Formats: sequence, C-alpha cells, structure tokens
Amino acid sequence: MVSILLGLMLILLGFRFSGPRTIPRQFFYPKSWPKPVYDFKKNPLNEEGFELGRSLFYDPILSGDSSISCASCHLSFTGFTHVDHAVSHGIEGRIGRRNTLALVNLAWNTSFHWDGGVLNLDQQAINPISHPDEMGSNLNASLKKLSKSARYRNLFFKAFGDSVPNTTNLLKGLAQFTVSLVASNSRYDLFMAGDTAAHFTDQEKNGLSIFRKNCTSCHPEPLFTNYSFANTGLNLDSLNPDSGRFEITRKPEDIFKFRVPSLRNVAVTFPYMHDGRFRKLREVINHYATKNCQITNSKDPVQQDELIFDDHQKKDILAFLHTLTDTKFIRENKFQHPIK
Amino acid sequence: MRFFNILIFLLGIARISLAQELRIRPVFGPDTLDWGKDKYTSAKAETMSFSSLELYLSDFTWTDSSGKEVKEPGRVELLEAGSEKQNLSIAHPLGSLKRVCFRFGLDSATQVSGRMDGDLDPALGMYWAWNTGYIQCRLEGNSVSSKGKKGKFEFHLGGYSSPWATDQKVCLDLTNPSINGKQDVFFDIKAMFDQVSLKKTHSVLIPGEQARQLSHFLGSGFKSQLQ
Ligand code: HEC
Ligand code: HEC
Repeated sequence: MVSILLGLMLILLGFRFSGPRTIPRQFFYPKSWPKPVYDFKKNPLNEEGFELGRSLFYDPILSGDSSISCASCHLSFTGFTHVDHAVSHGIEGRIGRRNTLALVNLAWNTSFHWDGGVLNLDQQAINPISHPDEMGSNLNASLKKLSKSARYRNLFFKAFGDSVPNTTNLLKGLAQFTVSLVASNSRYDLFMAGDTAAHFTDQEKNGLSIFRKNCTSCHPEPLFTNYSFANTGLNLDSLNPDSGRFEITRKPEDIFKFRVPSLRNVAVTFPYMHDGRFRKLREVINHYATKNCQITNSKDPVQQDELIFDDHQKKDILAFLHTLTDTKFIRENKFQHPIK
Repeated sequence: MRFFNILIFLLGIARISLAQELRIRPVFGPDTLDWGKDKYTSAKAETMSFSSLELYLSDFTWTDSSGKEVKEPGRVELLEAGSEKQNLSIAHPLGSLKRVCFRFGLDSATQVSGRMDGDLDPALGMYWAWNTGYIQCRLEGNSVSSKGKKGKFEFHLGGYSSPWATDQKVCLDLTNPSINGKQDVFFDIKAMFDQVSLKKTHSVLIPGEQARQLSHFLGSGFKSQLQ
C-alpha cells in the first residue's frame, strides 16, 4: 500500500518537473484603469515567454527574405510605430496600404487594425508574417526556419516545454511581448495622480479642458480611445482608396470609418491617420477645426461648430497632447532589442 | 511489464481494425471528381475542371442502426481533396451508421475561439488573417467561361456573423452499407454550378451576400446517394 502511494507521488512529481519551470510575469497597470480585455488565462505571461516574444519581435528570421523584423515597422523610440513613410514598407520595398499603428496598451483593445478586422491579439501576427507586402513569408516557412535554430528551440522549450516551434506557441510568444507594452507613465499620468513634480503649464491645463470638451467622446481618458469606429471627414484619397470598417462589416454606414487610435505617445508617432496623410500633429488639429470636416460616428455625432478653434486653442491642445508621451516606456530596456 | 506492453499493443491493433470511417466523396452530378483532368458541364452549359477543394466540417452527431447516439460538439475536421492530397475520411466512434449530422463550416464561437491547434492551425492556409476567421470552404479550378486569369475561378467562402453567416447544419440518413468499416456519402458540387454562372462570378474571396449564397448552394450538395 505504502509503496503504491509512494509510486503515485513519484509519478505526480515526475509530471510536475517534466515541463519547464517558468517564472510568472506580473502584468502591471494603474489601479484606476479599467480591467484589461486580453484573456491572460489563455496565455499566462511568464518571463521565458516574454523573452521569446521579444527575441522574435526583433528578429528578421520571420520574414521571407530574412530582411525585416516586426521592429522594422514598430520602432520602440517612436512609440512602436514607423515614422519615415506615410504607409508602411515591407520586404523588397513593397509599399503597404496603411500607416503602421503604434503598439500601446494592446491588452485593452477590443479589436485590432484600422478596420477592426482582427479580433484577437494572439492571431494578429499572422498578418505581418503572411502578408506579401509586409514580411512576405508564411507561417510554415517561418516555423521551419525557427526549428532549424538551436537558440530558438531552446527559447521555445523554456517558455512552453516544447522545443519544436508551432503556430500556437509562436503567436503566443509574440503576444506575450506585445501585450506587455503598457504606457502609463506620461507627464499627464503623473499630473493626474497628483504628483507635484509633474507640473502642468496653464497652456497644458487649458488644452486638457478643451480636449475634454471636444475630443473625449471618441478619445476618452485614460486610454484615449473608446475603440469604436468613426469617420473624421478626411477626403477620399483616390490613389489609395480605403473604405475602412466597411471592408469588414460590409454595412453601408461603416464606409470610411476607421478605428479611433489611442493618443498615448501621439507626439512621437507621426505620420498620422490611417493613411499617414498628416506629418505634423498641428495638421491633425487643423483638420478637426476646418468647417467642412464632417465627423460621423453613429453612436456619438459630434457638433462640428464646437470644433472650430482659434490659434490659441489649437496651440493649447497641441501642448496638452505632448504631455501624453511616456519617455520611460519608450526607453524601457526590457522592450528594446535583446542583447545576444 | 512485458505483459502490459503486449496488452497495450494488442489493444492498439484492436482499435485500428475497429476504426470506422465516414467518407465524404466529392462528385459532380453522377461523376466522381477527377482532379485537374476531366471536364464537367453544369446546367448553365459551362464546362469546367477542378484543382482543389478544402472544407471544414464540425460538431458531429453520429447515430448507429440500433439508435445509439454519440455527440461530438466542438470537433473540427478539415477535409482536403486535389491532385496532391486526398483526406476525406472522418473516423467515428460507432459501427454502421444510420444517420449523421454535422455543421458544414465552423460556428462563430469556434471561428473566434483563438484555438490554433490541430485542424485549426492557421499554418494550414485556411485562416483569413485580415479578418479574424477561417475560410469554411475553398474550391478552385478553371473554365473557359471564367473571366479570371487563364480561366481560373476561385471561391473562398466564409463569414460567420449575421446576416452573412455561411455555416449550415446538415443531416443525412445513410443508405449505403458499411464496407470494411467505411461508409460513403457524397458532396455534389454541381449543386452550386447549376445555380451560378462562371461568366458572371468567377471569384469570391470575402464574406458577404455572395459568399453566403454560394455556401448555401454548396451545402445543399451533401447527399447519401449518387443521383
Ligand atoms: C511592413 C511593416 C510592418 C511589419 C514588418 C509589422 N507590422 Fe505590425 N502593423 C503594420 C501596419 C501597417 C499595421 C496596421 C494594419 C492595418 O490596420 O491594416 C500594423 C498593426 C499591428 C498591430 C495591431 C495594433 C492595433 O492597435 O490594432 C499589432 C499588434 C502588430 N502590428 C504587431 C506586429 C508584429 C508582432 C509584427 C512582427 C511579427 C509586426 N507587427 C510586423 C505594419 C507592420
Ligand atoms: C467622432 C470621434 C472622434 C472625435 C470626436 C475626435 N477624434 Fe481624433 N480620431 C478619430 C478617428 C476615427 C481617428 C482616425 C481617423 C483616420 O485615420 O481616418 C482619429 C485620429 C486622431 C489623431 C491621429 C492619431 C494617429 O495616431 O494617427 C489625433 C492626433 C486625434 N485624432 C486627435 C483628436 C483631437 C485633438 C480631437 C478633439 C479636437 C479628436 N481627435 C476628436 C476619432 C475622433
């Protein structure tokens, strides 16, 4: 009897230690924020998974000709977006259709991409990997390359207990890194938390109050987006027509609506809008303040005349938007290229 | 130890020989499909050949001749046919079947579940990356009637949200006997080409009204007997 029990215990212990031992990774965010939408139960964060994702994110191994990585388009120093071209560039210099989105606070996204076509962060990365204009590879080819690398076999084993890279673990690893990109330490955050060191000038305070009056129906604090879709009245670009949300829902009322982007780090994430048509933040504000700009959002129609700002008001809004830059986030060592 | 190994081995053999399969045989009217070769003619008097077919079936309910019923909700099978691959059999837990019900396609819960294992692995090429979800049925081929490049036609049918959901419940009363553990039903794709002119429609690659309609034409092609 005793020996049977002992045997059982040994078997159980054996199971416990047969997989890798991982170090759980805490997901931190300010107490005052809403609960994240991302389902951490399906992909529990651990240090090893995060490091695997970080390594993949910075490694051109995922692209067809091993020339570009996620970080080629999502640069940490510019809030994880691509700043030198209006629309993103991929392998062989092919030009993508849309402006790269900044990666920030993805755990709260209810959908992904400018048109909301992607519903789950875990599956988002299939897009860049298998999109001919982005990384020009396919999952099978990428998995094959990874399985030939002893370093990756080791990283995959440490994170998921399986040294053979598969789709699930590749995507979960990437998501462990990208979901960790939380920006919550801007001067705005410190000011709101009552930090005396985070002084707001009168101009910034005035900007905040104009913003609260005019912009928070779509860009509410603290995430600065409500993740809905709206048409901000941009003229159609006939060379690069994009009907936005309509491409996913096929509902006529969704034509030319795009997902409301977060405004965190917005001062460094130029160019702006889904097609990157504005290089300067000032131009975005001018766009909102033009008379013929028809903003439509089925839930929350905005009174256009409320958005006619004078030059002082424009400067105030601009000054406020600059307080949303989280330099700690942008320089965070843990989010940079892992030193090999 | 030795004894146990032998026992497990014998059980394994028993399992293999007992395995029962339902075979979905793609046909065009009365003809078995010959991939890439034969020409088939629809009621619209258009001739065509086929290069590949992939489809998802899911949520099975099996009933045997004694009336015993086994439900397998959530089970997903990707079936493939073409000149390079043939994977059209579905193992089931009963003996001779009297009735089978399944979903042609995947329901919305499965589509967005985030499961990426087995037949739902996006690396299998059925995943629509830009628009979360899987293609329910993909059918490609050539026809002189098609205005596509080199007469190509391609139907990537999918979509799971209303009003354009493409998944459908199908139930079949089986009439063919089980031979060597295999029982046949048929998937007659002529059902779609009798309704749709390739001259007018040679490519559907996104969810919408067309995808919904074509899926329903195809869904009506499941039958237990050849015509
Ligand atoms: C060639 C440039 C390019 C590369 C390389 C690239 N991306 Fe992107 N990324 C984009 C563009 C453009 C978008 C917006 C796409 C859209 O809206 O249609 C985007 C969107 C995203 C989003 C959605 C963000 C949101 O808020 O909806 C995530 C997450 C993301 N990328 C992660 C990655 C990962 C992980 C990789 C590497 C596997 C990667 N990207 C590689 C250009 C790129
Ligand atoms: C009706 C909803 C709505 C309102 C109100 C609104 N926005 Fe926007 N905002 C959007 C949408 C949608 C986009 C993306 C538009 C596109 O790309 O076509 C956007 C884009 C932006 C961008 C560019 C961000 C980027 O990364 O490209 C800035 C900056 C911005 N808005 C600031 C503001 C300010 C300041 C106000 C108030 C004066 C405001 N918004 C009011 C919906 C709104």
